[in-house]
Amino acid sequence: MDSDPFSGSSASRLKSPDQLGPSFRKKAVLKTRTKLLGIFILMFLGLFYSTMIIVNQTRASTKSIESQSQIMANQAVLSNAISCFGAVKFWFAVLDNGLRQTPVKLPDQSAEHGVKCNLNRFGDYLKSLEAFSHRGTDIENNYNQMRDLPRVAMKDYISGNAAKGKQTMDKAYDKISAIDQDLAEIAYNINQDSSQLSAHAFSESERFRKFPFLFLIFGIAGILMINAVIFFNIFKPMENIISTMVDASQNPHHTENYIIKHDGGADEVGEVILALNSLLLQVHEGFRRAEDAEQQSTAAARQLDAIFNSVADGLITVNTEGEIVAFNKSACSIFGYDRQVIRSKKIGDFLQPNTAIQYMQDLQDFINGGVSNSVDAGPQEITGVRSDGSEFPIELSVTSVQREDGHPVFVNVIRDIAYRKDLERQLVQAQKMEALGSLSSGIAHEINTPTQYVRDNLKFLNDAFQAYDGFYKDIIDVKAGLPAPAQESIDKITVNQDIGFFHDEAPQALEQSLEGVGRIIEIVGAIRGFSYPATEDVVYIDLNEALKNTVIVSRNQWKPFTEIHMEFDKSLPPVPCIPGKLTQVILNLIVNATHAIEEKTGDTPDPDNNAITISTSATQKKVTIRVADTGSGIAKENMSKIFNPFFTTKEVGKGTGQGLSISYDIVVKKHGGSLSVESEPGKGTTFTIELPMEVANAKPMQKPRKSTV
Amino acid sequence: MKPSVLFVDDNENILQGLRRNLRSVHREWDMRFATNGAEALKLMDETPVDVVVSDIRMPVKDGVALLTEARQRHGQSIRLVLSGQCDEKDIAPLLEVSHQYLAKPMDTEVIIATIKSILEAQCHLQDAGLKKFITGLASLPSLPSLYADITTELRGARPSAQMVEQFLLRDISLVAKIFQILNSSYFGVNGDINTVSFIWEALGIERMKALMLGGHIALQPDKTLENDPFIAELWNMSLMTARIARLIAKAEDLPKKAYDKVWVAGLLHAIGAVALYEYQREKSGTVDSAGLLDAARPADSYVDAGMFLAVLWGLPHDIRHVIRWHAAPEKADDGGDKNVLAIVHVARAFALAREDSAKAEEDYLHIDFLEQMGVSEKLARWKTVADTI
Repeated sequence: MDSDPFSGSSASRLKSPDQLGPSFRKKAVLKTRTKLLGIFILMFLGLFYSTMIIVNQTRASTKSIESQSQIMANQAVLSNAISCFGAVKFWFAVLDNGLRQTPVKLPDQSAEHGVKCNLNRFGDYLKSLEAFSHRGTDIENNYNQMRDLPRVAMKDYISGNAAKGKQTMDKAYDKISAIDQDLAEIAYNINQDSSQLSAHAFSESERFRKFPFLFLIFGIAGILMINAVIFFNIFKPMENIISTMVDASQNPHHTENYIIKHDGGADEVGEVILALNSLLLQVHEGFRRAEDAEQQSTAAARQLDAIFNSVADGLITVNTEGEIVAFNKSACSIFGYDRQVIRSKKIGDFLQPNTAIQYMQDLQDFINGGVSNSVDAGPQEITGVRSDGSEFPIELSVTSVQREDGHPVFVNVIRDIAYRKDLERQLVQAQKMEALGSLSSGIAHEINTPTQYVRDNLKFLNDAFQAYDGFYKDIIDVKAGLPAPAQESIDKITVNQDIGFFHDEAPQALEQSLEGVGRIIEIVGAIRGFSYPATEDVVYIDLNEALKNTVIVSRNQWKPFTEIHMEFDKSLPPVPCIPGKLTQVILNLIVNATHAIEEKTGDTPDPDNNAITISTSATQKKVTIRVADTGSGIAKENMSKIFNPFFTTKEVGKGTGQGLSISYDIVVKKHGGSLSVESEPGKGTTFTIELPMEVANAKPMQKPRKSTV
Repeated sequence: MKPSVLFVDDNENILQGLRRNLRSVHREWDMRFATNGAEALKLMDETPVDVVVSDIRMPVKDGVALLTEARQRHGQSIRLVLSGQCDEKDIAPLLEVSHQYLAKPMDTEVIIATIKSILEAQCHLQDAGLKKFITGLASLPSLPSLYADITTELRGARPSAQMVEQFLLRDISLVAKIFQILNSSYFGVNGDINTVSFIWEALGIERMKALMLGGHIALQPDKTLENDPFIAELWNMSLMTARIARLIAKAEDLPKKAYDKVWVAGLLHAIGAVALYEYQREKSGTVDSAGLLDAARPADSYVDAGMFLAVLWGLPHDIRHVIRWHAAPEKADDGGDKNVLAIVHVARAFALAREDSAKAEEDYLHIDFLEQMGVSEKLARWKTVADTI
């Protein structure tokens, strides 16, 4: 099943705009606008450029026309000036000619007047000429110098000073030629300007011809680009979106298949796509969750059923009458009923009669709204009854469930606690052993200290008594040689002090006391030796010693019924085992053997003719311990069951049926050994323990890693 | 001069009981009694004693404190413990300051025999300095590499008893110390124990770890030992003797217990040489190894030193027997296991002959003794077995 939709791969492929963060958002908004804005700016610049060209062109044309007209005006001025000056020259030549004739043929006044008039007219043009040529100034200077010369010369001629007049006339000539030259130069210059202007005007008009093309190109390009942007960035994606949306709307359960592909959603349309994609996913998620929920509820129901039937605890639901409404497999197996049979039972059939009555009473109390002892009151330990009538401990919890119809049902959780009870008993036993262990070393010390001096003193007393006894014997020996009265008094003292009795009894008393002290020492030692630490470490032990200690500490159990013979292999190597556990097994076997002997001899114990024989032997690979008894033996039909937990043939209170199963567990599982039994009813039983010399959980022998020797 | 023995116990009844039962030696020993450690030390300061026998749990000054101070102030005194029980925490220091632990109730005859045998072994030594040195020894040096192997294994997450045992069994000093512990009642086990495996019943790997790493049964060895040719030769020869002896025991089909016994006896037979070596090193800083392994040296041979150490540390009787008589087995007269003696005697001869090509086995063998033991005809077979190494 797909789990959290937001951790799935789809979400990571497509992010909603919000998830993309503010910077992306800003970028996205700007993109198409920016494109359009860019195009507009480009268009504007293009058109502006074209316009500027037009304006410049126009301005240049105007300038050119102005220059042209100026030139034309200048030309007009010049030509006027030239024609005037021509008239000046004509009249001057006329004048000069007249004056230079000999005799002077004085011309009429008109020549001089003609010169004078035309010079004046010429002078009028001079300012205009100055305006457009620096030559104008030269002309004016020359003009000013020569203006009066003809009149002066004429006066000279008239006055008869022809030479001076001639000189003055030559001077005037020079000036006229200078002016003529300047005028020619001006004319040349104007012509030059005019031709230049014409050439420039021509080139300007050439450029002016390109203008419409530029304008057209910029305009068309701008419009095309705008269209392209609008088409690719808006119309095309919109079309895609619309068709996808139409498709998606026809298949709303799988909108996740209509995720719109996009190059990253960096513009306004991209945002729209992201938003739509997110929407599509959410729609899909919504549908998927709804489907999952539906599937889950079906699966949950099945699973619940499976759980109901797989719990180790028995579950039985009953109505207010105690009739079974529902039950699980464990309930059947715990009570040993068939599924078909159990339906017809009432809860009371599974309980001890008294408990059943109490149970129904509790239900009634609950229904009546009173306080109930068991309903909703947590687990209680009671006794259950199996289909075969056998009783066993169970833990029962009753919980009420209010149904919609107002009638409650009661859920009974039943746990078979026989095994737990037994473990508890074992634990208590183990704790006892451990307490014995820790106590025993303390007690041992307390006993050992007085034992030291009790034995020392007994030995000393023994020596002392022997000395006294020797002394007494010496006296008896000496007595024979003494006179009769002395002998009599010695005899009298001997009788009065009961010396004879002391002589007979004291050595025995001392010997027995020493033997008793020896037993105390042995028992204390055995208790200390028997109480191994409660660990499960495998260590090597002197097995014979451990067995002997076990026999000594269990003496109280077997002594009234039997002897124990220990036939130990004296060359037994150290045996790897968990000592505390192994001695527990031996103790178990001794107790079992004693019970078997007790069973056989009944009310007339016969310790002299019964025996438990414990023997040890070893090979390279294994150690064998045998515990043989002369007891009642095991019936053939029980042979296969004796290692089962809880199996016991002993009367209640004598055995839990756990001893052999625990022993089996210790020998087989904890030591990797074997525990077997041979038995002949009426004759006795022999248990054989075989332990491997290599223990499974000890590390294998390894060669030393390095060696210097 | 009569040897002096000081008994210390806070229980007057114990002291009186002892006094009464020590009657048989009251002419031989100068006996003193004290009821606590402080009193005992005062007595010792006045007149030094040869042997101290102390209880552990005592008011004023307990046995551990007493023996610790006695070791410092009266290094020549033999220190024994006679106690019913002591705290687990006291055991580790006791291993350093006491030579043997006698568990109450202890038969007075055994106490007398123990003290007598130690005093007797001490008498064999002439050099008073050597006597004091051996009495002051808490442990002998181990071979640095073996020591490192053991401590590395013990420091591991799950130390293996078998691995530790494998390394341990190769070190003369550690084996001696372990057998001292095993054969005294430090950990409640007492008996003539020749089998190293029992150490795990008595100690357990955790305790072993604490004792070993705490330096209570072995001191950090001097690194120079590793390269000392004499030490190398001694370890080689001892280990070879042990290996040959075990092979012979196997070939003779002896019980498995005997394998350990001959191994340990073989390994420890020249332990006195280790003590002599250390003594010389301490005394003069250098060691003259010539004659150090000569059993026939007139005064204070390694045999005498080894015997004193073995008796002082209470090593098992059969091991002591081998230590004392391995070079002169025909003189053995104190009831030890002569089969073990014969095997180690032969194994040693084989080992020595291997070391020194100039010598033959016969140079070290006492044929008369072997004939007397009825094993002389087995020699050829034993040689074959030894040559498999």
